Parts: sequence; C-alpha cells; structure tokens
Amino acid sequence: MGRVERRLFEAWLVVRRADDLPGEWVAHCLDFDIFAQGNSLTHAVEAAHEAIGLVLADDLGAKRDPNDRRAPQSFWDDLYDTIAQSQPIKGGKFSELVEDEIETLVSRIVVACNRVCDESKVSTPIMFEKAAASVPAHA
Amino acid sequence: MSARFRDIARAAARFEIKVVPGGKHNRKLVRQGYRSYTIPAHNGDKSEVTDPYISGLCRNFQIDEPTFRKLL
Repeated sequence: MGRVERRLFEAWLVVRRADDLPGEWVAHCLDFDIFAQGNSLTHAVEAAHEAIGLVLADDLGAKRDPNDRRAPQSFWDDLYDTIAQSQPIKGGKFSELVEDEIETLVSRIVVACNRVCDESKVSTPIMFEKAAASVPAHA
Repeated sequence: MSARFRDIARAAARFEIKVVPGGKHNRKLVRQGYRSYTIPAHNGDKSEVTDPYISGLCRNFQIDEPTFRKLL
C-alpha cells in the first residue's frame, strides 16, 4: 500500500426545501457547484457529502483543481443575503436540527479527502468527513 | 421542473454523457474532457431529480439548458 495523502477542503453548503418536489430537500455546495437531494434535511446533507467526496476523488485523480468548480456569482450573492438574514445556531449538529423551524440552512463544511498514492497510480479517496456550524434562515 | 433519473440519463446520453456507479445516494455522470458530475439516485431509475440539479448539470457539461430540457 502506498503513501496516504490527506487534503482538507472547506465549502459552503446551502440546503433548502425543493420547490418542485414536495418533501424533498436540495443541498447545493457552492464551492464545487454540486447538488444533492434527500427526503429530509439530514438526508440531503449526507447525500451532499457523498457527492462532494465523489467529485473530489475524480478531480484529484485527474489532477484537476476542485476549486475551479465554483458556482456562478448569483448563487454567492444569494448566500450572502441569506447569511445576513439568518440567525446562527451555536454548536449545531445536523442531526439535532428541527426541520419545521428551518427555511434554509447555510453551513460551512469541511471535507477531508484521503487518497492512496504510489509511484504509478492514485486511487480514489478512502474517507471524507464533515464538521459544521449551522445557520438557519427565517425567510 | 423536476425530471426522472432515467429521463435525465437518456437525455444526457445524447451528449455522450455516461452514467457510472457512484455511492449510496448518487451515481456519476461522466463525459470525455469534462469534470464528472453526480446525480441523485436514491430510488434508482425512478428517482425524481429537482430542477436546480438539472441546471447544474448543464453548467458542468456546458450544455445549452433549453436544448437539454427539450429532451426530457
């Protein structure tokens, strides 16, 4: 087994109820312009972490900079507006959030991407993890 | 407007985008010369995929969005 290389990526995640699918939540990672969805807020966040891990794996394996995936500026403008109208949750954990009280969740997440390297190849990441402070907006 | 996974996959195939295995919640779309993109697939081919996702897919693969939507 080769050397394990670890990189940390920070990203903004915005999670909202889907306008077009009742009961579904949509998570958008702005830094990598990746969407995920789930039938609960927690489910959407979990799916987003998986999706981010998958694209990071591909980008790093292809020696591409994942930070080049940024979402268009309009999404960032919405993010800043949402944060300005939001109230922070101190030490919030996704699993402890009450969905009925949340219109939009904005969170800074950390994704740790491990990959195994040797002289001839780079394998896919073997782990990613999450940590976050959560901020629900009351639109 | 949302669309089913299988319809998105069929439309994507017109642009030489392939669906490959991903993880527990997502599969991946790959196209030669482009970065990969994930697609929600909780319920397999019947999965309903939200509108913002379809826009993101078109951005990632530099596909004209109205053209893509006509294929759904």
